[in-house]
Amino acid sequence: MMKHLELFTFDIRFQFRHGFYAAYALVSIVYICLLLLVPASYVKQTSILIIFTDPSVLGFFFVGGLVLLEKDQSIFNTLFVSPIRIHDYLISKVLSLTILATVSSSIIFIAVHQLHVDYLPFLIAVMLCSIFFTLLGISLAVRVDNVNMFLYTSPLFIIIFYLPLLSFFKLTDSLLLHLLPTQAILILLEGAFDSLTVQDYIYVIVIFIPWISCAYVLTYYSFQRFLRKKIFS
Amino acid sequence: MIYVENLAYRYPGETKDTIHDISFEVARGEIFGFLGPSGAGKSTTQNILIGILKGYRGKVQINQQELDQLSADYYERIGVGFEFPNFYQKFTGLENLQFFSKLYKRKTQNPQKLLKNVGLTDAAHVRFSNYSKGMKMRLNFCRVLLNNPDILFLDEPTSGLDPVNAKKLRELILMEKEKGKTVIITTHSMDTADKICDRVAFMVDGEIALIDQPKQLKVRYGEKSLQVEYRCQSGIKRELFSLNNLYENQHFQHILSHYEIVTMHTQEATLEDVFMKVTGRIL
Repeated sequence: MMKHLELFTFDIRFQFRHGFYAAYALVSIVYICLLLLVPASYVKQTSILIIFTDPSVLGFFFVGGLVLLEKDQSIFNTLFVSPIRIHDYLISKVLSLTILATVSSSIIFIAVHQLHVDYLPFLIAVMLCSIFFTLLGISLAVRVDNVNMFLYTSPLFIIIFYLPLLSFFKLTDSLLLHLLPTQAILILLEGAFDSLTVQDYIYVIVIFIPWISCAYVLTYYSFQRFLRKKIFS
Repeated sequence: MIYVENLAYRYPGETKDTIHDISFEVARGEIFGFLGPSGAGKSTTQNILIGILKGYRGKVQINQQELDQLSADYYERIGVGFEFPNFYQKFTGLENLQFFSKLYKRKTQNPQKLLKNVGLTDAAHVRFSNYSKGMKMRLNFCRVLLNNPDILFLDEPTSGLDPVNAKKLRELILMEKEKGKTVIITTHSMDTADKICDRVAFMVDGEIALIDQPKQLKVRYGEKSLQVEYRCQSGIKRELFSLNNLYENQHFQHILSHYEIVTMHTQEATLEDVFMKVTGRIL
């Protein structure tokens, strides 16, 4: 337990020293200004769009940056000959970035909507979205050699998960989109403004358990392969 | 302590084994060195012993327990130092050690005391990115000792160190041996191997060519002769005497009793010479 806590707090200190918190704060301020400036009739849609992209895009790209930064500092061989296991590492990264995403998204929402929205579906959406995209970000980061490669290949990796935005903008209403976890995120975020049924929550749970499980297993084995092939070979 | 029998390993996707038929034993409190050129299989062997490379063939036992059945707690009992040590660049040497010390369940050593032992007290609050290679190596050795490990795995421990700090580090390694710690060293440095290893294994092409004590090897493969330099009227002269029945050699006795001896050396081979003779390779 002590080791998990230490890893987690060190991750936060690491992110802080490398300016991740400053970048998040800046992005949040930009989002808040944007939401305060858009006409009232667009605030709901813009809020959903921003919160949908904030933890997903930032979680994905920030964790990619973090992993590549640690790789650049050649920290992995030192780290993984200590009692740290891959599970500990992944959980710490996911938790630290999810907390950051939750805090920043909440600040944006509170600044714009005060207490006029339902924060339960909102918080669930942010957390699930951040967990999922952080895992995806790690599994891509361990496959590439540098930040440029990460940026070039990331659209291929995540574009499919943005397809539910087509239904959000009423461009299509395919039921297949409901198989994607990001459709569930949009439903939860819309639920922050409207109301959600128990069935909606069950749908979210049913869709997210296999997606997050698969993402975790994929990330775990990608990371294991990365350590064996690129770090300890 | 460590028992290895017929160890072989093939990297995934490769068609040939990187190491094959490796067998050796290391006793508790022994300093055992792997010597060999790059690509000989030293790092692969070390990475198997530290539990990073799984799926090996053969037997590897640590304290009578098969390595692949050991849990993650194995890392509580070992200390591993790589040739190119790296820590978190934006954190100081002390902050890095404090972080790593909290990852262990067992009682760890005081980071500041360790830094003092390697002469890094003044650099404790300096960011790691500002450390020289020598300072990094010394900080790395502190990290290896943090958890008071039973087995130390050191890859090129004196690489990048000036002669004074290399000597200091060798002394620290010998102090660990005196405490009963087992030390496995992989190195190109014949000097380090010669000065601190109880036994060395020569590795070439993924195999162990020979295992013995450095002293024994140098005597066995060296010439049994003594070179004497002495001062006479015409200047300094040098002569070579066979060690066989040297005590009966009248000429040798005459030099000892009539001239000032400048130097006197047995002509034992260097470890490097032995390596070349045994393996036909250079390091």
